[in-house]
Amino acid sequence: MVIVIVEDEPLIQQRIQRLTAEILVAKDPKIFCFDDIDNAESFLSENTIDVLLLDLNLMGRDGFTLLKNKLAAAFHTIIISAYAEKAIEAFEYGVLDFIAKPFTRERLIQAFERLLHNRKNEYRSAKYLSVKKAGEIQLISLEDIDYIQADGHYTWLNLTSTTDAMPTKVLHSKNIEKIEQLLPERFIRVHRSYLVDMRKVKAFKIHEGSKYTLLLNSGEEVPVGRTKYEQLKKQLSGI
Amino acid sequence: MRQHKPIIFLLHVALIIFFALPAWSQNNNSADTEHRPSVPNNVFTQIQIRPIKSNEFNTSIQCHASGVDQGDWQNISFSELPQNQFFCLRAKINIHRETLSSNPSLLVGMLGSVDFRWDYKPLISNGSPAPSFNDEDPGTIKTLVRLSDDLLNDGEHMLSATISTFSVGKELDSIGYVLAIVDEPKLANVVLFVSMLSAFFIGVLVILFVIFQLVNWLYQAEKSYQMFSILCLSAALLLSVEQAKFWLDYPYNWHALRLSVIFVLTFITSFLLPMFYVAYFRLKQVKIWVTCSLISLIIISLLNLSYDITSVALFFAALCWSLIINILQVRESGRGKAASLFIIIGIGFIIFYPEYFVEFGFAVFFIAIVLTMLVALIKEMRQHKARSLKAERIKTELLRRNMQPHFLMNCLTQLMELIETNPQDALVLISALSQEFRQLTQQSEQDYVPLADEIALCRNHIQIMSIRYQKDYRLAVVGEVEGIWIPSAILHSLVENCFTHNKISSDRTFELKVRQAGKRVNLTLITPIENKTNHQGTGSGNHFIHAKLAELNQKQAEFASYESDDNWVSQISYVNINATAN
Repeated sequence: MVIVIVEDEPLIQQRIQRLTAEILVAKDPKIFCFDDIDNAESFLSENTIDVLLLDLNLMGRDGFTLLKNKLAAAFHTIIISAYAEKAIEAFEYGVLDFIAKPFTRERLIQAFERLLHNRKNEYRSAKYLSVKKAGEIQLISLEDIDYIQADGHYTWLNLTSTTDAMPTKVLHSKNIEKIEQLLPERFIRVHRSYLVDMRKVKAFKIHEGSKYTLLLNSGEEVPVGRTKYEQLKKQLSGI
Repeated sequence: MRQHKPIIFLLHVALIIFFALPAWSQNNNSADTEHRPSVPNNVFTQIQIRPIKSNEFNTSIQCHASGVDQGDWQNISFSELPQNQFFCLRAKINIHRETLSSNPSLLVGMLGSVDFRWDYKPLISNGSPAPSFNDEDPGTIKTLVRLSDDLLNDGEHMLSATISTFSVGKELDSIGYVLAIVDEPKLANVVLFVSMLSAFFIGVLVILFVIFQLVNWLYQAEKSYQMFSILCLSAALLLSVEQAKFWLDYPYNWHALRLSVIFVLTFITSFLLPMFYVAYFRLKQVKIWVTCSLISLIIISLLNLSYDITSVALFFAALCWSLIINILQVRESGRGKAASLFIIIGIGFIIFYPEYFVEFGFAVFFIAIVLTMLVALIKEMRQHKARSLKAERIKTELLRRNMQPHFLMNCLTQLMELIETNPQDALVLISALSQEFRQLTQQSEQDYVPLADEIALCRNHIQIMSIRYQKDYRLAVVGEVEGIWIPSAILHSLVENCFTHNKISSDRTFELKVRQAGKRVNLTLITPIENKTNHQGTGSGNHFIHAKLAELNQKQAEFASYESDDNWVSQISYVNINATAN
């Protein structure tokens, strides 16, 4: 497991590193420490990592620009910051967790459990997904996403096309499991490869040979997995 | 301030009208005179003089006799009276009783001793004329005598006089000002009106002088207040001396002295006006402005013009310099628009009606300029208030900055780590933190603290930062610290600033150089820089220092900072204050 820590104060960096190594000892962690995000940049672009533990001064505008940049990447980001008042905003942009300083060993364990067990982020308050397009970071509002389709290690965000200028599909670097962890409850994993915004569903269709699909407002149909059928039926009756 | 603009505009319009009116009425009058009959009634005509020959001295002087040799008499106008002479004067007047006012009086304004006769009979003496300077008893500048009815029957009359003018003391353009029959109560009214008006202006100026002295000494020391105050005083003096001719009937030999005093006061006022603007806009090239305006004024003074023209020219130069300063300021910062407009009006007035400017326009104009200054100064005061409020806010902010959640949370995180790994260091950090909080809380209450205390505070902060960043930062002090006081928390804020803008990744030494020159203290603090992209010297730390120095009434304090290689150099210079007197 590859972990990158970005923290400028040596003692705090030492603390994060020490505790992470202890907590994840079974996972054979490889921990790389950097004292600011610029120094970490080239490492992140050349290596595949599992999680970024990031201390960011989120008070300035630059902090959030950097954060959005990281959130477009394939790995999850956990913020460790003294600026606790920025937590809500950070969650909206799609961080997996926000650990306020000072933090205990237990709090760090909780964050890693969330990461390792694909447990959903308890706030589930993401409002945007960052995507990198032609080198630029673009924020996609969750309101515009109809459904999300897995494509290997990547995912396609299928958007409600309002104008012709706006593309209907955007590629995201995170896999569908990681994205699911961040999204609010209304997004349901209806299939191994599909996440659907239930508010955009028009009808539940049953096809021959016990095949099920969801008809969306846009006219598109999304397959429903066999195992998900019962759960979904219950959910839909509630709508 | 926007709401004051219409008022200022109206004021300008009113002033233009005020200035234009006398000129306009003057034009009307001159048009009237053209229609008058060729032999005017009640006006002295055929003014003639004749030098008194030395052989007359011993016998009786025949100025008033009708039978004197006509060839000796020479026609002149009254303004051409000769200086340093002993002579006879005679003038004819054609009295037309009905057109004369009810209380006719003879008004003579001239520099000389004189013995008047009306129709060869003694009328009045003002001083005693004599053939030489030593024998002359100088008269006053004004002669006013009631002409009784029996002197004023219709027809031609003769005013004759023996005059000596040895005591003028200086070559003047003219020593004869007025010779006329006037209505005495009317004249008294005019004199009263003019005196009241000038007394009003003088009073206003004196009050402004006193107010701004008090403001300067008791509220906030400021060069521009001081300049403004002195400007008001010199203008008040100038106006008093200038208007003295209306209400003070002084001996004519004082006249040259009075003119010299007017000249000196005009010179001073003309110099102070541009200098006020230099101080007000806090211009840097003070020496250049002083030299330029002084040179121009001195050149004008040396031109050997008449007193009146010199005064006008001096004011003209003063207005031109003020205008240049204001216009440069308008271009640079947008300030000084009203003043510029106003000065232009003043300059226009001088060009078109120079004679009124010296008499009275000057006073009105000056009061009006004073008003724009007053508006500007009140604005300034408001800024001062805002600035000291800001200083207060920054002071609490400074205190809070180190007690900020962010700072505190980071320190607490480090303490957690130290407690688990190195409890001994945790104790050191806790002591240093508590020491810093205690000292900051105490010092933020004080205006000045001993430099040694401030250095201790900085060292403490540097120690905290050394632990935080696991480096060995140090503060080296060069120079004698004893007996020096410093506005509290200034150095601390610079050191703090260095850490907020910088990540210092090696063991670096901060350096403080202390130099004392007389009462002045010069401090140079050199702090390391590593990431140059970050802005320094524009943040709240610098605002705090400027605000603090202003708040403490440090008149000539200077604070500058700049980058030098991989250091940030901050220089502070201020007047040392023995705070035991605080």
